[in-house]
Amino acid sequence: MVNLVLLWLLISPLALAGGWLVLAGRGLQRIKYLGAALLVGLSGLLALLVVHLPQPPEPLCLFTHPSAGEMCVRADASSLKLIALLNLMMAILIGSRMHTLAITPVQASFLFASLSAGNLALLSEHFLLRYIALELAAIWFLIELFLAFKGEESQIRQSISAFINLRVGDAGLLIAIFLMLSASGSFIIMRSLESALGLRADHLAITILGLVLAVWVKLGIWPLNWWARIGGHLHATLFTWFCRLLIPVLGGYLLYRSAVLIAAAPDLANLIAILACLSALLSTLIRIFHSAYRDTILANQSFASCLLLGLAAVGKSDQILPALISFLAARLLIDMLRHTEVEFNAQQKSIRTMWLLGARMLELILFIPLIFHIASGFNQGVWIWLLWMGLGVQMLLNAGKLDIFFMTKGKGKQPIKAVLQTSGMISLAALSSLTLHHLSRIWTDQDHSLWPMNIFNQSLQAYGMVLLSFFFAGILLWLVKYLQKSPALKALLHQAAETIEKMLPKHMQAVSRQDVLDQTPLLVRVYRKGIQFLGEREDIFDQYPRLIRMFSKMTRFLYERVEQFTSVDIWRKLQESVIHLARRLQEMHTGKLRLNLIWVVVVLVILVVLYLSGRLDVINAHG
Amino acid sequence: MMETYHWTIIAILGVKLVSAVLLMAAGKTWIRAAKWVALGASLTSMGLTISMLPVLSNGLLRPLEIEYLPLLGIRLGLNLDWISFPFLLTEEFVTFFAIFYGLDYLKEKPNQPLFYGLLLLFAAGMSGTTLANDIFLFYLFWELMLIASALLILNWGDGKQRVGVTLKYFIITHLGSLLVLVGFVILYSHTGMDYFSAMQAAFDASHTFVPLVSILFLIGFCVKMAIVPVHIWLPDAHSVAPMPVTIMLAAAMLSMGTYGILRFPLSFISMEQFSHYGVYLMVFGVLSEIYGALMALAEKDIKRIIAYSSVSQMGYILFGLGTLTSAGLMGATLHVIYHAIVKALLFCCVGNIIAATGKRQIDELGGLWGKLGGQGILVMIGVLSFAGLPALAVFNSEWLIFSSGFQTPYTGLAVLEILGSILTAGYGLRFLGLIFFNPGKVTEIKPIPFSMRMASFGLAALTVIAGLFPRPIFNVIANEIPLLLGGMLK
Repeated sequence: MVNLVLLWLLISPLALAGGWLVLAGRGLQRIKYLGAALLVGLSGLLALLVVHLPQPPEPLCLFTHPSAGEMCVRADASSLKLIALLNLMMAILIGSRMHTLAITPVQASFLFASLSAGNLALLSEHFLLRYIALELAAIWFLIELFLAFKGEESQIRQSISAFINLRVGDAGLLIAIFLMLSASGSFIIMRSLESALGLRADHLAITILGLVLAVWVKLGIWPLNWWARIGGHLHATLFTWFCRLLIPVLGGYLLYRSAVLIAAAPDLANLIAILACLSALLSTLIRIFHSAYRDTILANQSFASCLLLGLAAVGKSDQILPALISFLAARLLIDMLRHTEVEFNAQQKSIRTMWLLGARMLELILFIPLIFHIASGFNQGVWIWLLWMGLGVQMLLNAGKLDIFFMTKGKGKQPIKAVLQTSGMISLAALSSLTLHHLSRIWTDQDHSLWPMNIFNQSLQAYGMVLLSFFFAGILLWLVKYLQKSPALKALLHQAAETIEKMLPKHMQAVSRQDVLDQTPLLVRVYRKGIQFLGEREDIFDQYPRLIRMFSKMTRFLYERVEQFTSVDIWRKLQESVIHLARRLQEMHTGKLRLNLIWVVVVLVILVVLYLSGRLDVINAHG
Repeated sequence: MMETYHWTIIAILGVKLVSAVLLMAAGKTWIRAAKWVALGASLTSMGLTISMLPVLSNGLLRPLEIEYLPLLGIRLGLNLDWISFPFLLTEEFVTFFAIFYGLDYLKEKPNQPLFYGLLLLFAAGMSGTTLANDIFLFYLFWELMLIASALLILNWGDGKQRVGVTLKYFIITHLGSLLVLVGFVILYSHTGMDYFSAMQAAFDASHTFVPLVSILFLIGFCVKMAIVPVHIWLPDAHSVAPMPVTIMLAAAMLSMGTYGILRFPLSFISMEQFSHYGVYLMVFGVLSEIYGALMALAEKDIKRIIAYSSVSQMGYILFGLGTLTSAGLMGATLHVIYHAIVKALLFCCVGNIIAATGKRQIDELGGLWGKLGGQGILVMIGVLSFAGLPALAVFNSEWLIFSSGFQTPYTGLAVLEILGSILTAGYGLRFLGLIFFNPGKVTEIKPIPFSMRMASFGLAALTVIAGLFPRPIFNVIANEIPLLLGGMLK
């Protein structure tokens, strides 16, 4: 029964892919979408069902490779949960967006083929099989990029960079696989990982670095996330959305499985934790200037992924899976909300901010233990300060993204409305995110003691209070608007407004009555008045904009130096310089019979190096 | 006494040689029939080669010996074993596809009977080298291969530079051949035998001449493989030669260097003695892989891009050979076969693009996706195969070659080899992306003739089939391992 379900999970998406191509241009589009949603949803439900069934002792072997032996899949609870979530998400999205989906038959078939590759990668218990599935997922992504950017020269070049970026990760994975193979003589994942613990220190280090490189790229962690950046510029079709999600999930699962190896080398693990923290901090600083929604999401993904990597490095691998599941679920929530009937500006702002805050909640949960671990593991003040500074920046950013500065600058009522309207959603999203994380941990670990350290409780409570205050502000606004309909209250408010108006400076008094009745400017004025009142007594608010400007300058500097360095343009320029260098080399041996001296020199140098290395061996051998 | 299979072996060579002589003798009287005669000869030869598989599977064949110069002790010997069979089969397939591609490609070209005659001689040179079982015959066919191909480039090559290019090709590869010849002479003088199996039996692996002979063979065969830095003949020759010749040069003739290394140093010398050279082969393999890929990235002429990719791919093969492991040697031989299929496919597609657009500079092309009757998909199959995409041919051999690197003490080189493969994906995708997905610059597109189109489709199908069902080829290749390095490989 379990094996049948596994086969279904692999074959049904492929059948859908084939069927979609065959039925291209035939049949009702809506019926096809409905059928696909049902079929994919059924896959998700079956995966959920299998989690609770007794697992067969033997894996299901699908193929035999002449050099790698039998390639099997296994029903593992962790992978099945991810598969269930992926499939159910896909079903919900197809079902809910049936009317607005505009994907070509080719894109649809790629979508389902990617789903099959994803299921295969998650189920496979054989490194070659997993590598094949990961490669297939990457290649569908590339083809989609090519087809989407057809006719746009710079984008085509960037698509190539994106695939090469993914190949860098694959190269890391290959190196790790082959080193593990040399220890275990097998491609079976469990056996390879266990045997790898017996590798000599330098080989173990290369294996871990290879795996981390693979995970780093696939999770889309800055600065090796060009593929995700370029993918982010695609038109948001269901397929691109899925690819951008699938590859990080596969990377996350790879991390989950290989975390045991990372924990086996404590020094390296600490280094990885520091790198993860640094990447998280730098990518956070940089994202301040990312105004586009997609870049913000990307930066968040990078940050959340850093934390996953950090968790593995500090030996908290049990938290990776719940974090991954909550990441998936939050992503679904966001995507669903993107298509709700919310006012455009508010919607954009709310989604972006929600993401930031939703992710922040996760970050706070995950980031603090990481910092503590590193702080206790490394008795070096600089790291501790750096990381605490990073946390502070995170908090500042949250404030920045809440658009408090809009209010202080008084840019009109519309942004304020949007902010207040947003706050309710933000709070809801943050709380949802927290709840999702809570539920996913309970689901995966059956662990009901959610917060093991007091510091979490305190931080979360403080943070929750801030969020809830915004939530209540939103509710208050709604209440005020409702009450405005009452004539008695209207009169009262009118009177109150007139009183407040008299208190305001002269240049602010030329506001129409109607505007005064709108409570948003009223709130703004009250807020300003409050600040004015405080400002007369203390200079802190005078300093605040200055601090903000200074901070802004610092981050702008970083942005211009670091972000520009890692931008796609720079990678393109790097690629061009490699080509230029290669062309120079090529020019050295053009012509008919000209054997340039450079070649003789190259060969001589290599021979001398080899000879000397041989001599050194001999000298070493003789003591 | 001659067995039936001896006649088959003679026929494999004879069909091509006789057809070649007939075509050259008939001259212009056979203008229309020339291509069909050549195609028939290659098809027959391919059929005969395939028919040898069951015979080989039943046990090792007895070599064929014919007295030639009894006074000098020179005999002509032919033999087919598990080392030569994969190479022979590859050559036959490539020859067939090259001739089939040429049916329409050469329509406008002058003096077709002579062209096909020389093409068959070129093919016979490769088959003869593979089947030869004695020094004399080996070298004879080795030189025949060179002369026939040089004449083809000289007479039917593109552009005014063809004379210079032919000279460059001839002199450099001939220098390599001379090194091989010197190696043979030393071997002959020490063993007193010209016959491979007898020479192998009389060979004293502990003798002082072994290092010298090994180095001569390695350098000589590396010239044929176009390994950096002795690759300089390849890009010019491949880009100037007419397309059927380019296909044969790139897809089949380069593999003769690999065959030479497997046949001579590796099947004569023991594992212990050869282990000193393994690391050199690995180093030059990595160098060639990376350098070839860089050049392919830099190049703008689409034919030369694919030509440079041969330098890079030969690097993979040399690296596999250098590991001196069964995975490495199997991977190298497999890579020869897969490289032949994919390289032939890519050259066919390049020929088709040039035929359809009249342009060969990558900057002048673009926007051809969906306009060349599926050529974009075929190129995609080809470049992704070289990039090591699973389920396509080259993946299986690359996997073996990479894994073999980690079975040696030189982990750093193995890591470099894998990292270098990223460049392969780079130039492949650049090739695909700029020609097919960039903004369209081509205004006029001519239809691609039938045989040119079908050849590329056939090769693409082979690429996919070989990738999806690797076992039959693996089984054939696995038989060569006991014959190499004194049968010491596991």
